[in-house]
Amino acid sequence: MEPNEPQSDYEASSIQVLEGLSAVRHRPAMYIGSTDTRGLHHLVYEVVDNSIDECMAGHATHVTVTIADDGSCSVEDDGRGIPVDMHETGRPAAEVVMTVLHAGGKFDNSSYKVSGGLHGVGVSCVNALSHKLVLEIWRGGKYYYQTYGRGDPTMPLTERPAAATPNGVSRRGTTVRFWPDPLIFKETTEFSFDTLSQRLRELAYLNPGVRIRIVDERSDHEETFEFAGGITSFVEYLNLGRESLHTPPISISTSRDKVEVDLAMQWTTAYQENLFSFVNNIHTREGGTHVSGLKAALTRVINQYAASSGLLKAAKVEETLGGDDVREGLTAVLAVRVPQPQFEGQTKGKLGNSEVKGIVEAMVAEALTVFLDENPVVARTIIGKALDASRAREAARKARELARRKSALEGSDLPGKLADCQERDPSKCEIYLVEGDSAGGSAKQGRDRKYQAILPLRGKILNVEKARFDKMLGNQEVRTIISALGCGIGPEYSRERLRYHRIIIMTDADVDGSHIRTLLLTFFYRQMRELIEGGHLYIAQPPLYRVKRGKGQERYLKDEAAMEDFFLEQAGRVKVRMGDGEPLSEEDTVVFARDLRAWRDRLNRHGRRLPPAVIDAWFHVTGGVVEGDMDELAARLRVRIAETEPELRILSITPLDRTLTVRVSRHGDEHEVLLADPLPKLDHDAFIVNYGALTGRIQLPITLSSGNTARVAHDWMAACSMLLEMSQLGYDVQRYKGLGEMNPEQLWETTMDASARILQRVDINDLLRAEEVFTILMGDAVEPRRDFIQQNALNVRNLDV
Amino acid sequence: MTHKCPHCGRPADDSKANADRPFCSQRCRELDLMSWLDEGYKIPGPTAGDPADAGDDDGHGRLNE
Repeated sequence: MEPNEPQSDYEASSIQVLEGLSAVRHRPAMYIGSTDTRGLHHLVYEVVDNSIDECMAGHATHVTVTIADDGSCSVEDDGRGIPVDMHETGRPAAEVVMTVLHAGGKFDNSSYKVSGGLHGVGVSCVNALSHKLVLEIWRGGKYYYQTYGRGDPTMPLTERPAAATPNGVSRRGTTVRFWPDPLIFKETTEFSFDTLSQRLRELAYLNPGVRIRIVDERSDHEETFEFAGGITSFVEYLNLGRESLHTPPISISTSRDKVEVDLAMQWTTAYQENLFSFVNNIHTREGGTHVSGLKAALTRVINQYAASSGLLKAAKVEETLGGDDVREGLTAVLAVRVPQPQFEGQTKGKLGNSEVKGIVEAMVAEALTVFLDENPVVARTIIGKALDASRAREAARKARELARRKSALEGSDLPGKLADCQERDPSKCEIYLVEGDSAGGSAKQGRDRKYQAILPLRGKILNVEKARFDKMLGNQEVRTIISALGCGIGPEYSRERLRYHRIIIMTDADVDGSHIRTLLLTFFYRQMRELIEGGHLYIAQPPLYRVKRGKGQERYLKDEAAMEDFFLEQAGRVKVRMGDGEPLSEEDTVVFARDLRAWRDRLNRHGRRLPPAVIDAWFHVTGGVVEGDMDELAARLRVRIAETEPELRILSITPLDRTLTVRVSRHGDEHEVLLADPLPKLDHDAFIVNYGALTGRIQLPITLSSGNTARVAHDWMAACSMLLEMSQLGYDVQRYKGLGEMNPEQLWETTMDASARILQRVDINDLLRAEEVFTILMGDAVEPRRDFIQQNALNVRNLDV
Repeated sequence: MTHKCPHCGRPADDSKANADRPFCSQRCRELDLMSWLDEGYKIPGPTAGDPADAGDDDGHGRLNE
């Protein structure tokens, strides 16, 4: 071959005979891959590729593929026409091309600089595998015609006068029409319009300037493909319906050492990579050296940019970005043209030429570096996506590692801080996630080690600037939880591998405790949701109070309400006299105390909106039923409020119809209250019943006495607090600030002993609440967070979920 | 039923068909997990001066924003 030949001829002398055709029918799969529908369509591609070659060489622009309803397929081009002059074998060149394997212009590089074809087996294969083939050539103003049967000529190449064309220019080109041999293609000889048009569309993208038409005479389907934009249009077509990160696609077209490289690529928000590679128009499904070069360049250049721009460091990614991360969401079409392609692999779909890798890598790297430098915003977006991909992959890998546990008997890879239980049946096991090392220590000592495991957690405190202490779960804690539970994360959650069927969160009853609890619940909700849906998650209820009388029995009470309940039942110990009357019986005292506290709670429940003193006064003045003169009611109300709540300033009381509008102010906060019968937005009936029970019994002043103490109450509220205080006389009340204040025995008795403890099972609503709290606490919006913390600063229980 | 994905805020399918629930996608779920493993989630504590004012917002919370 003489690549530098200035003027190349396409004559019989340029057709080289390399091999005979006999083997093709014996072993068709060796030549066309298979004899199923894929091999069948390969016949068409083989013929089309010859026409495309003619286009690439600049001699043709139109290719038409026609599926006829007689079972044949024809491929027509407007090229030069296959040479018809006599070959050195003594037969017309065209007949040699059709009947001799590996005969064709493409083996002479001066005729076709670069050609595709089915790895060079040639159109003779198609002929061999067709029971009939018709060859038509328009060349030099003449028309030639020849037919074949199963590869052998059934008539000599015949010249006929060419039909006149309207514009006087004589027609040129080649048409090959063939009927696939049903003896070979036993599965089917039916061509698929969709299959063919997909490949023809590809070819049209790969060869801009060529117009490819496909006609299906069976159904009158017809499509024409012509893409001036080439593979850039291909990428845009592939990305239809995807959200791209930049437009237009990055496009590279360059050549070195006779290797031409065309690349179009565009990143999208998708997670898959979508890479199509071609060598001389052949789709290299298995990739090869050209694809390796592309991938190497992408990984190298993007990592270089990420490192030099500081993005890698900012994202705390220690390692470099992996190739998969860099290519996530990338749609790329790489088309190279190589003079002597070597194909490897099972389906010959892999390029083997080693020199191509370096060429592609160098050229892509160069162009991509320039692109990233010139488009910093796009570069940032692409790298941001790769960083996300890298982090996600790392998370998935870590989760798998943490969840991996060899067997239940092998506890060796369990976290060191875990005090495991002896029982191996998960349905009998429970694990306490305990806040703080000291409480963890008490829990370890106090537990029933047979079935209770303890995992102490430290809510890590982070000292950020300005002496603010942030609370978080240290990464060690999260890892420990994942590996201790053993059940895996997200979709890989497996109940079978869950090592404890009860997971019990035990935290202090303070703000820190509730923050840790919120963090844990949010973590479980987001990452181990099935754990909650399976009913495995609980919250322990450690007591907030201990009450004790002398050396007698201790009582543990979980919160303030429980403590009041307890002392209400003790109220009978207080002697209560109404006015000058006799002391109430013990039973009556308890009933009275209950009603009185109910009244207090009922008033306070609405305190944020309705000042309790105003409501209290309204019932005292009216009994809840509006009768009589409204002005007089207003006057009595004014007196009553002034008596019971001197700090409340009355701004105005305005009667209107059967209502009073009261405007009051306390410490500068103004309230406006509409009093009516019934009271709007309140459970009016319950108020009336409660009020009636009390007013029927109470005579002021009330005298309370217990032992040596005696006190006199002049209004209901004072009586209520005195009664509660006095019923505590003789009791020792201890408020626990944290779990650590309890000794192991106390912790066991109150919180861990299955026969006595109270566990709150966490359900999805709790979690939605936790997620909400979490979002508020973590969110970027300053206002909601400030409001939330202020509202809940005083009442820890509101933070409880 | 849909709700907001805790990671990206886009709508997420809340039915059992969505294996990544409550997230909209595997990606968001994994990025969230990474934030847990990376100590990316902090609950802001009170400042020394004003216990009620924990609100000076200096980008705490998600790392990947």
